[in-house]
This record gives sequence, C-alpha cells and structure tokens, in this order.
Amino acid sequence: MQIKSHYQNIRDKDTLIAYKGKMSNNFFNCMLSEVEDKLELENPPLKLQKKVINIIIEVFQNIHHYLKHVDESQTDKKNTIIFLLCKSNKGFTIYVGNYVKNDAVTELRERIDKINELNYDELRKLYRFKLENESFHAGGGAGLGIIDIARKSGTKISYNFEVINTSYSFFSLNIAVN
Amino acid sequence: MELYNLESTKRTPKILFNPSQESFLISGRSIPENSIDFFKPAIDWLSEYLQEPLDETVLEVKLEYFNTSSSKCLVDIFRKIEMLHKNGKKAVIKWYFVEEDEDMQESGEDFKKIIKAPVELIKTNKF
Repeated sequence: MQIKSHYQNIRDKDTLIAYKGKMSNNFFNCMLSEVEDKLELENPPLKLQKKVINIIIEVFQNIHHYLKHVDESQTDKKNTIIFLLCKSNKGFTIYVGNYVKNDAVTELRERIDKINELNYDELRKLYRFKLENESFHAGGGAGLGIIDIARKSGTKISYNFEVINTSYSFFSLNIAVN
Repeated sequence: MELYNLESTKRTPKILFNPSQESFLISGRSIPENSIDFFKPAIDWLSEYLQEPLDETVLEVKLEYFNTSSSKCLVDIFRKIEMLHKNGKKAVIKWYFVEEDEDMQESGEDFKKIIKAPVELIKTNKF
C-alpha cells in the first residue's frame, strides 16, 4: 500500500485514530490510552478489544526497538510513523507504517512470509518453542512479536515495502483483527 | 527474608513477594519498555528466596496484558517456582484469566506446557 493510499483510507474508512508523527516512549503511552478510550466507546467483545490492544502494543514496541538501532532515525523524518485504527465489517484493522533501512527489507520480508505460511497450531508451537528455548536480547522480544501478532489476529499479515530512496523503504503492515 | 514489593504503573505490574504473609503475586499490566531490566530485581529476589523457601509457595498471576518480552521474563520467574518443586517443596503457579479472554487462557496453557511445576488455570469474572 502506498503512503498516499493511507490518507485515502483515513477519508474513506471508519477511522477511529489516525496518527502521523514521531515514535517515542511518550507517544506509546499516550497512544495506548487513546486506543483504549476509543475502543471502549465502540464496546466490542472483551476478547476482540484485548486482541487489538495486544497487537498494537507489539507493533509499537517492535518499531520502537527497531528505531533505537537505527542511529540516524532519531534526528530526521525517518523516525516518523503512520498509524491508523479503523473499524471493519467484522472487527478492526490496524495499519502501521514506518521507515526501514533497505538492507533490512529482505530479512523482514522473509520473516513475515514464513509466519504467514503457518497455520494456527503451527504458530502456537513455534511461539512455545521460542519461548522455551531461545534467549532474548536486551530490549527485543526474541522474534516473538511477529508470531504473537499473527497468532492473535488469526489472519495473514499483509505488508508492503515502498522504496523511498537508496537508503530507506517505507514498510507498512495491515493487520485485520476479527 | 525481606519482602519484595513493587507497586504497579500504567505499564508495569504490581509484584509482591511476601513470605511472612505467604503471599506471592504478580498483577496488572506488563508492557515495560525494557522487560529484562524491569524483572531483574524480582528474579534476583527469587534466587535468594530459593536458598531458604517456605514449605509451600503459591504464586498468583493476574495479568491484564503482557508483551512478548515480558513473557520471556515470566518464564524465568516460573523457572524459580519449578526449582522449588524439583527440590521437593510444594510450589504452585496460579494463572488467572478473565472469562472470554481466550488468548490469556492460551498463554496460561503455553506456560503450563513449558514449566515443570503445577500450573493451575483459574477462570474468573474480573480481577
């Protein structure tokens, strides 16, 4: 999905939250409260509400940790993210986009493709295996985040990379939660 | 042994390990920025507790949300309870989840599979 079409989405969809700006710890705290308030008003079943919040927590923390490792991102627009929370027919859709270094694209793509190939039980097994056996690095979640997102959403994760320049691509995720 | 008592915040759980009251509790939200740093003191406390534990230790876990990096730390905490169990003490983890919250129930089942100490899943109406 192109960045432009994200804005198209804001106009066309039943958007609860639309944000474009810097990612920071403070943003995380504020946005989480905002998400909770908005969801409360929609009053979905508890299970769905918790899934949406859980996925958003993982997505934000993944981006936050990624950006901490990219030095330049702290000072320029590469620290910018786009985040949308929309209502859908069956539940909610989370759109989130951020800049990633071009050299990270292949690995990210492979990782998501691999996760998308797994069915629910396989995801659960993989999650459990990693939780039990793999050590984790400071700040990171040992690669559990993306598995958790796939597991909780119950749908395939759709994503896109849009090349911005020789250094960066814009990475967007589209997660349906039903 | 001195108790370990940490009040909850918007992103971190309450942790209370109080041997004199026979009370061991983790409750609230666990979505810290850095889970390893956050949980280290609690894990260290438990390591020391293992030297001279009570005959019975029941750890109650009542979490609303937790991120994946916290789940790794929870495994580390539960491993301490497992150690008590292995050493012949009575040691139980009580994993509470709110009715309807199947994801939290599944998480409890995941821990139950991983941890070699009794893990009881307890359905509740509200925390």
